[in-house]
Amino acid sequence: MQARQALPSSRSSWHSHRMKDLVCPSPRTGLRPPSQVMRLHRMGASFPTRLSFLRVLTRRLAAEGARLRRPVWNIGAEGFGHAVYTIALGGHDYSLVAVSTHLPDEMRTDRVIATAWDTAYVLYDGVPDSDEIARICAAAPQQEAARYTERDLVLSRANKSVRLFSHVIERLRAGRQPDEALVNEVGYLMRTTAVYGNGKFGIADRGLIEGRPGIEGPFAAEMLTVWMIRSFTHDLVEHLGGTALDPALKRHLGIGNSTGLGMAPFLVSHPVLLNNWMQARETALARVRALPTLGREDRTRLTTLCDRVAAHLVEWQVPAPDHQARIDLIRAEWPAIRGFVEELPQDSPVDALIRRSEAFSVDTQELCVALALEPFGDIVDDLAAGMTDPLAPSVNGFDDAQSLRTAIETHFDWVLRLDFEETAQQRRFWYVSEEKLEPRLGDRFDDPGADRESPLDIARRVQALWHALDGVTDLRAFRAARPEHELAIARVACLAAHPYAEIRDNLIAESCLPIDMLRCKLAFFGATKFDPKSDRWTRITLAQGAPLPEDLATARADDWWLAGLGA
Amino acid sequence: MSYSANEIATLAQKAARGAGFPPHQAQIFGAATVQFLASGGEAQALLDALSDPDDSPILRLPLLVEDIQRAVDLAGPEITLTLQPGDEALAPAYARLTALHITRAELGQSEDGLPRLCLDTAPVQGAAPTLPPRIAADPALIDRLSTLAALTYVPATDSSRSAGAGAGDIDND
Repeated sequence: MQARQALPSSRSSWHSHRMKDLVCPSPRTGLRPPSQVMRLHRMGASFPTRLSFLRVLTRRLAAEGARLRRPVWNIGAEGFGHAVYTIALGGHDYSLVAVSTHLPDEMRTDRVIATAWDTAYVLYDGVPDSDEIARICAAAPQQEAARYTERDLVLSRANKSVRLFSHVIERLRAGRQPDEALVNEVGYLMRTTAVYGNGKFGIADRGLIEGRPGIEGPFAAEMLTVWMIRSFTHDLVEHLGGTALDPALKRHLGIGNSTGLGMAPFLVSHPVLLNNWMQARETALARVRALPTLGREDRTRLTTLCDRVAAHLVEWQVPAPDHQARIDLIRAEWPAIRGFVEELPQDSPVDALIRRSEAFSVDTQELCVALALEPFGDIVDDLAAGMTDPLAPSVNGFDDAQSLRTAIETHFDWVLRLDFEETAQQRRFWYVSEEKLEPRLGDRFDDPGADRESPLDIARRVQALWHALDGVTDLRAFRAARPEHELAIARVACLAAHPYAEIRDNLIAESCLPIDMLRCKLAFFGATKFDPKSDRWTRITLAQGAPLPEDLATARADDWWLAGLGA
Repeated sequence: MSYSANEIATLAQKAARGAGFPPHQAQIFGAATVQFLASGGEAQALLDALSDPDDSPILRLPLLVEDIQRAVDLAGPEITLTLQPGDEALAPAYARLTALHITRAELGQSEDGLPRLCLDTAPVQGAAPTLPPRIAADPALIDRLSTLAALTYVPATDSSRSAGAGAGDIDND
C-alpha cells in the first residue's frame, strides 16, 4: 500500500509524526460488517469510547479553556433553594439553573410517572436575569407539567442516592471523608431520571442550536447539563457538610442515571443517526487496526490502560446475578488480553489485538474495541464531527419493484429468514402508555393494546413488503395502492445508503432484550457501571472520573476513560 | 399559545397515526405540519387532511416530495407539478421537506382545471433554513390533534405499570 510505503521507518519517528492521511484506510476498508456490529447482543456489550459524547464535550471544554462559574448560590442550611452555574463555550454562555426542594422519601421514584423530585434543572441559553431565574425556579420542579421557552435548552431532574448523600454529609460534618467503598459502590450523589432536549414541553428545538460550536454534536447540550449537574451535587454536599470533599473522591462521584424503555425506540426512529454513530466508531477502529506498527509510547499506554480496565472491572459490581456473571467473565479473560497487549506483534499490532479478542466473550471483544481507540485521539477524534444527522430524509431511489425486492434481499436478508407464524417471533409489542406517555412493552397474546402498537416491528414490515412485491410490475401504482408499506420502503432505502442504520434483530421477538438497546445508546453517551434492574431498565453512572471544573486545564480533561478511584 | 417545532411535529405525527394513517406518512405529516403552520397556514386544512385515512393528501403528498426531487434532477430548478384536487393547501409545506431550498412556491391551475404547484428551487447552501423558534397554533387545532394522538396511547393497568416498563422498585438507595 502506498500509505505504508510512505511511513517513516523509525517507530519512534512514526509515533511523533503520525498523520491521519497516512493511516486512514479508505472509508469502508476494514470496517466490521453490520451483520456483526448491529446484532443486539453485541450492541448490548458496548463500552464508552473516546468518541462518546460526554468525552467529546470535556475535550472541547478543555480545548476552549472553559471555566465554570457559580454566580448564584441561594441554598439554605437544609440544602434547599437554587443556584446558577455559567460556562462559556463556542462563543455562547450557557447557564444551569439548579433547584433543590424537599422530597418525602415515599415520593422518590425513578419512574417517568413520578411527579416530584429532589432537584430540578434547566440549561439556559445565556445568563438568566432575576426574572428568568424566578420563572425557572417556579417551572422546573413541575417538570413535564410546566411550559418552557426557547431560552430553555435542556430540562432535567435528579433524585438523591439517599444512603450516599446522607453518608457523605455526615462524614464531612464529622470532619472526615466519606467511605471509599461506599463511594465506589454507589458512584454518584444523585441520579437523573430524565434529561429532556429538542423541544420537549416548549424548550428550544435542537435546530436552533445545532450549528453552535461546542454543542453541535449529538446530545452535547444534554451532556453539558449532566456535567454541570454533577458539579452542583458536589457543591451541595460540601455546603451541607461544611467542608470540601477530597478531590479524588469527588472525581469518582459522577452523576447517576436511571433509564427505562423510553430510550430504546430512539435508536429505531433515528436510523441515520444510529448509522453515523456506529460508522464513526467502526471507522475509528478500522483506522487504528490499519496502523502498521506502534511506538514504545503507544505500547506502554495500551498496557497502562489494560491495568486501568482491570481496576475498573474490580470496581464494577452489580446485584443482578446474570450481569455480574458477565462482568466476572471479562475479569477472568482480561489477564490474557493484558498479556497479549504486553507482547503485541510488530506488524499491525492493533489489528492483531482485535483478532485475538475474538476468542473471548463478546463483552471482552467490545471492551478491546474501546481500549484500542483510547490512545489514538490524533487519528480518530475528528470522526466525532460526523456523528450528527444534518441531512434531509433520503429519497427512495428504487426505479422498479424488482430493484426494491433485490435491495431487501441484499440489505435485509436476515428478515427473510424469520418465521412470523411462530408465536415467539411476534410475542412483544411496543406501545406508549397513557400514563405520562411512558413507553412500555407488552405481550401481544396476553396484554391489551396491541392494536395501538408503536411501529418498531421493522423486520416484520420489511418481510411483509418483500412478500407483497411478488408479481408487482408498477412500483408507483403499488405504493399508491398499498400505503401501509411505505415505512418498510423508506427503511430499505435508508439501509441501502446507511449500512449501520438498522438493528439486525427482530425487536418484537420474545427473545428481544431492550436492555441491549439501552446499553448501546448509553455507551455512546459515555456511561459506565451499567447496573441492569431488569431486561428493560438500567442504572448507570455518567462522568465518573471525569474532570472537575478545575481539571479542565489538565491532562485529566481527556484522560478519564474508565478511570477508577486510583486513577 | 406557541410551541416548539418538535412538539408540533410529534403531536401531528401521533394524531395522524391515531386517525388511522400509516406510520411513515404520519411522520412526514408531522414535519409538514410544522412547515405549514410556520408559513401561516390555516388549521382547517390540517383537520381536513386528517378526516379520511383512505383518501387524503397525507397519503399522496409524501410521493410528491420524491417527485419534486426527481423533476429537478431531470428538468432543472424550475418545475411545475400537477396535484390531485384537495392536495393544494398542504403541497407547498410538503415541498419544503425536500433537500432543496424552495425560493418560490405558487399554486395555479392546469388547462383542464387540476391544481398545479410551481416551484423555483436551489440547492441548499450551507446550513438549512431554520424554523422560527416558536410555532403558533390555534388551540382548537391542538385540542383535535391531542384527541387523535390519544388514540395511540394504551390505557394503563397495574400489570403494564409494573411489568410493561420493567422498572425496579428500589428507588431509595
